[in-house]
Amino acid sequence: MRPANQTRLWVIDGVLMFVIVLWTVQLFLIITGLDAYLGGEHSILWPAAISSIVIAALCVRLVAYIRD
Amino acid sequence: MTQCKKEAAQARRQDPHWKSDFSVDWDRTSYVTRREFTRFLALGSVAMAAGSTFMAARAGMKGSVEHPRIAVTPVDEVKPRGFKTFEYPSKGHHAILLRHEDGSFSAFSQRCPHLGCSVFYSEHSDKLECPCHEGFFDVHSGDVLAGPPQRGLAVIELEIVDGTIYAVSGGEA
Repeated sequence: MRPANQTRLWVIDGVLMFVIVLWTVQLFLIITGLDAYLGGEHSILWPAAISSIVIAALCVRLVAYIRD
Repeated sequence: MTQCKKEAAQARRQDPHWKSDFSVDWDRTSYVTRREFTRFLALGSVAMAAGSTFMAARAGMKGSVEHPRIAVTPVDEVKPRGFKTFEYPSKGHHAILLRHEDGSFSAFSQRCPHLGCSVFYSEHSDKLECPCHEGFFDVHSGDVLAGPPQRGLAVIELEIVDGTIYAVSGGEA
């Protein structure tokens, strides 16, 4: 494998790792939010939603690095 | 032609046995690349963000609920270690009124704070119990005793006037 291809693979793997971690955090946020919503605890819903949006933006930004 | 057959036979001899049993034709198989998988995760991430926002917006649209003063039942109608269900603060919000052995009363929303199932009064254990995931609540305070719920039941404030029990505030918003 050529060095350039090797570097590209490392970048994709790195981005994939970050996205998996962020995705897991987001999954935790949505489960906690759902639990709070059903339990009538509405105060944490907007902070959870905003955090989720920030994480999603970060994921999309990371994926944009490996567009092609 | 004979040469080709010989080469194919030689290749078959060199390959391990499992390769012929579980042969995979990579040209025909559609597999997901790491890049595609990462994109798929990002799409899922956007969907989760949208879901969280929808949930928060929906909760915000519900607004504040009025807590009317409702006559639940005459005191004499509920015996010690007995209970009566009613709806508070509005129709469809089920609640439970309990009378303890010392004659005092407690009332709670029947909605389990875990995932919203209806709790019931378990007479033999003198606890409020959620049948879905085995959550147990204290009959006096509504606090969690065991199980997955993280919060206690919503307490309904009561008043006793002229032998009648009134629900005055609290309960499920």
